[in-house]
Amino acid sequence: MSTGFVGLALHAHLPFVRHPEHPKFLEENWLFEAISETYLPMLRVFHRLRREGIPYQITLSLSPTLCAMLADDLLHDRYTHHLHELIELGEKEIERTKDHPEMNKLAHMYLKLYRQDLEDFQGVYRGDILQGFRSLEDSGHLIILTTAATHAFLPMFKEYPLAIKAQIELAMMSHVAHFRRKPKGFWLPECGYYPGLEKILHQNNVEYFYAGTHSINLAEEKAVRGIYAPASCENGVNVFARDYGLSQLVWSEGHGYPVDGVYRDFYRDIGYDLDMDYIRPYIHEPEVRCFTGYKYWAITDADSSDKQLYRYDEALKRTREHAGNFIYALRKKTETVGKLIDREPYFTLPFDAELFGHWWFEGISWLEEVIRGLAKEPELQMMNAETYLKKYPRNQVIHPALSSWGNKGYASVWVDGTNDWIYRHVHTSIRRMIELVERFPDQTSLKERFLQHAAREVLLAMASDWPFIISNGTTVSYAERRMKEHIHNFNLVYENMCRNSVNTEWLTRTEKKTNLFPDIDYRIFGVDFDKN
Amino acid sequence: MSTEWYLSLSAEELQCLLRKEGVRHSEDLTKEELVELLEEIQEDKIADRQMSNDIMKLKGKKYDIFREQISAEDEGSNFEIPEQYAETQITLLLRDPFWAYAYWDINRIELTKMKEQYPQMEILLRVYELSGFGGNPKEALSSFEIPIQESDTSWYINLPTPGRCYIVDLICNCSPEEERQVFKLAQSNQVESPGGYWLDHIDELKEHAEDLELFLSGLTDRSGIITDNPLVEIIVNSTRCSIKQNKSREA
Repeated sequence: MSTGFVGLALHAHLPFVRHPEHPKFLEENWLFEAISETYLPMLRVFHRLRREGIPYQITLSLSPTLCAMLADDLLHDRYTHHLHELIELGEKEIERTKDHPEMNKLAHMYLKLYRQDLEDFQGVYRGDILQGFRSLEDSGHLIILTTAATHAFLPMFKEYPLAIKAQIELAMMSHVAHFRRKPKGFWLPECGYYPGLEKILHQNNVEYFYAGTHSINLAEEKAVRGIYAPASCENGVNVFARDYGLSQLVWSEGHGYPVDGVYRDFYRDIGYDLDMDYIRPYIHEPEVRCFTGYKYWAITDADSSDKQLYRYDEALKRTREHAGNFIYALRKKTETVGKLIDREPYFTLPFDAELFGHWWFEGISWLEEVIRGLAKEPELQMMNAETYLKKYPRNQVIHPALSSWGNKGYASVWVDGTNDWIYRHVHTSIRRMIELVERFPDQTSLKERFLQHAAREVLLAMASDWPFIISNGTTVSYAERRMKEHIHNFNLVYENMCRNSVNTEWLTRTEKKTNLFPDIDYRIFGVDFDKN
Repeated sequence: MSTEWYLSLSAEELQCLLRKEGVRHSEDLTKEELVELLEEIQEDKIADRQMSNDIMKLKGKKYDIFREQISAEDEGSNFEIPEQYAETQITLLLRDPFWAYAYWDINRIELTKMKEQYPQMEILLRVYELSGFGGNPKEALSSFEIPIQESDTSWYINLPTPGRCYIVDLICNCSPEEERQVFKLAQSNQVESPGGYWLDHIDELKEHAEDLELFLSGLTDRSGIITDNPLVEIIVNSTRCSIKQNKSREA
């Protein structure tokens, strides 16, 4: 009987959103919701499993922009304030729903969740939740990876290897600053790989990366083990390709586990359902309804005529069933694939971390059940990429193909009719940044700070989030504004430097607002940059 | 874009928008027909977006903090950015095996001088298909031209063959009415369209059931739906035809 290795890789990322110029900013909720519903609950589960001695190996990629926000004092204060508001709303909800036992039970559940989040955030982690992840890496349960500095979709910048190098080197430096060790693996944003990228990864001592299914399945050579083993590039860097079929059990919007009728409906929220007079203090000013997190309705089966109330106990029971089904699918696939290749199959299963808990509210319970279930399975074993590469250091050498995990497996999400306009500006900014480094290699003091900030703006303009959001049609005006802001700010520095002047007041104000990568060296965009 | 907004534009402006969408020869249409055509294109784009794959749909939910778009004032107007840049250049970005996005800038002063010298001039894209990376356009396997307008600054180019390299010249034809007199304004970077072993060895895949099983197993979900990928589609359709033919022969 063959054994199957389960390589679960979670990717946690959010774009850098921090607006000290406003007392409250709606898009900062992206971070707050992810902390409350994903990162803290995930830490609770991972630490509980460790305490109970349940073995597991999971890979977690934490993006540099997310780490910067999780370590930011202003955002800590704002998150704490956000939690206090949610707790206040919860207390009101318990009163409001007192005559409706089912809803009241849910109100208590949410209030308990937010109180627990507050206790963990302030009491356990003292605002630094990264330490919770560091501890799990120290004990060998997690491997923590990084990704491109601002999560650039790298195939769009293939013509600018210096910019790719800057994204990767800065990510590595940021990771070392947060986690005190250099990662061996690298998460490619959106699993976006192009042939040749491995050279820059190799220069940064990266030993492996994750890519889309087609990177191996449609490689230049016949992949003898398909996607069920990593393959090596010519320079020895290994690629792990996503198992589309198994991932779809979770990802599929049509029939994946998260769309089961008993699970919580993400969209029905009291931020929309209740009277404005009641909900006003907990939504966005002035009277912009938004999600509060208090959601009382289940997705409900399509054939049901009435929307069903959410029943948490029933949903938890279903996560156990779905975890069992997932393990069954893994077992079956181990049997079928095990006959086709000459090794135990390795299943590469990458997911966005925020899928669990935030969108699929019960997803973290499902994850816990899967980990507990796998620990009892003799034919299945959780295994991270590094353990696998120790076991099998030699892998088939191939030339992987261009790939991503986006639509059709390539770049069509990040370059379409809605967002293609950005590349003229971002590419020009990159060329100009490289030019600035060549013209002004030894600046100090104010001009050095000015150039550091220019590098920051170019990197932020490269983020994959803005073209994704524009293409996806959510919060488009914010994403467009951010793109224009970064290009505008970069051009301002460029034009001033060309005139040999510095706009000091603007620089001080902008540095304060965009405090990402405070120690960045603008020469990172130069040919001769020495990161040591 | 609303109907009102389209109606506020001139016929020339509407034709220009249509050209950007790849629709040429719309000069004979009425203004209402032009608006209707643009609206149809926008509807198709929305439908296309709704067909995003599952990961992209779920990732979008990460950014859902409110259900409706807030139609607030355009805060982006505070940050002015140039429409174009002074350097004459053309860049090619690979979107997928069959499409590349080209954008270009032409120095305004150079363009004005050219127009003064050659009032009849027209601008074209010439696309070269090369056998390998670093290939010389003079030895191209094939080439074709795309006429563009002066107001155009970008184009989606259909790439005929996967697994080939492409390069695009931005050229000026000084005398379109008489004998061609062309010169190159800029040349793009090369892009390599993905192909892969199995695309070139479909027969091998047809003959080896285990290879086919291994290939498909990572691409198929539990409902039997195969991942949406243009190259996989070609490979699967070819193998399916073969399997059907074999079955009918056996019958």
